[in-house]
Amino acid sequence: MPKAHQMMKIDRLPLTGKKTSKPLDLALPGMPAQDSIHSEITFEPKGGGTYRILRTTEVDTYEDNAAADALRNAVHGIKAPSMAAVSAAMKLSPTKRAPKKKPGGKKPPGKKPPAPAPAAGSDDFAGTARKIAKLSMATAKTENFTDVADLIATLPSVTTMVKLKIPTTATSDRVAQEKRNIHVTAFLYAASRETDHDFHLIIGRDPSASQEMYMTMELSGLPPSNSPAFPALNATRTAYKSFFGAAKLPGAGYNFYQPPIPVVIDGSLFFDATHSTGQAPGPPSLKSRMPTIWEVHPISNIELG
Amino acid sequence: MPALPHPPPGMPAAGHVIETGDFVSPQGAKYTILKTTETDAYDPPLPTAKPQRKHR
Repeated sequence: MPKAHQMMKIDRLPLTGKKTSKPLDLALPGMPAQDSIHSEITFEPKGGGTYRILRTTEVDTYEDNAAADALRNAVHGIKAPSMAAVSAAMKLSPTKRAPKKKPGGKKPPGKKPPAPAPAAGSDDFAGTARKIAKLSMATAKTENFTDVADLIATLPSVTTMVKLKIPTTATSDRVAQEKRNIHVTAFLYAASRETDHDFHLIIGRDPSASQEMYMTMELSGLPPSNSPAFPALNATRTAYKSFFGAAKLPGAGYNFYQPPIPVVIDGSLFFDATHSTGQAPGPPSLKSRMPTIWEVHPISNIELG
Repeated sequence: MPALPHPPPGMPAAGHVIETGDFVSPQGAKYTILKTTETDAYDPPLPTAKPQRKHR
């Protein structure tokens, strides 16, 4: 298995799609989430040494100056942020107070707050992107893993997958690289419920492992009951919901679990082409340790606890 | 030098936690669920996720 440092090297900025000047090792301490980096600069101070400055979209949550406010508006809640808007926000003065929003005033695009997803709403899949792939299982023998890092090490790079230009239309089926089924023993660290009724599970390594690493695995919203995948997906979703009970299921905000919950998952691999450029899935607190946008999607069997 | 306290892996930023609650699994294991304001970056923020001024 490649070491974590090798697995978390990138040569392209996911947010902008631009190539980096040289590979960037995101496993180093103190690195930002990869999809927050919008540009890099080489810095050679007079005293010597060469540094890379990574300019990110990250701001303190309490900042209410014009620059921070504009940057938040440019990225939060927007799938593929406009780099022009990000650049413009970066040029604003961080010492200038953000203008007060008038009640009922026009809100910036992407900032419309949603009604939080109900914990016990519909189970039917409500999305469209790559619906065919998300609601079917691959036909392949099952590969066994006892460590999420081992699974991640087998995945083709994002750069390789982006070159395939996988369509994100509803009829976009699995490509050859995605036609794999896996069985993995791992831990559930966090989960949320999405507006398409998928549950996003953030699955990671044993908490005692020295290098944290997580990836997204999804319990799909359900296909029509006459779909070949319906029985397995319905049983899986029911098992997950029964484990937590309706009151403890996650909503739109991520729930985290302490200690992480042991889990055994079966499912098919899926490349999240919809988010291959722009912002990646994952809770902000863990995203710096999520090296891939590959997913297990759908989960076809789950055992919790 | 004594070891610094280290949070367990996989925990959210403290400022993002809005509620905690106990959970006992069907097998009897005890967990704490931490509800947070964290969403996927491309999803709209939760209505409660307004930035708060820092006291300076």
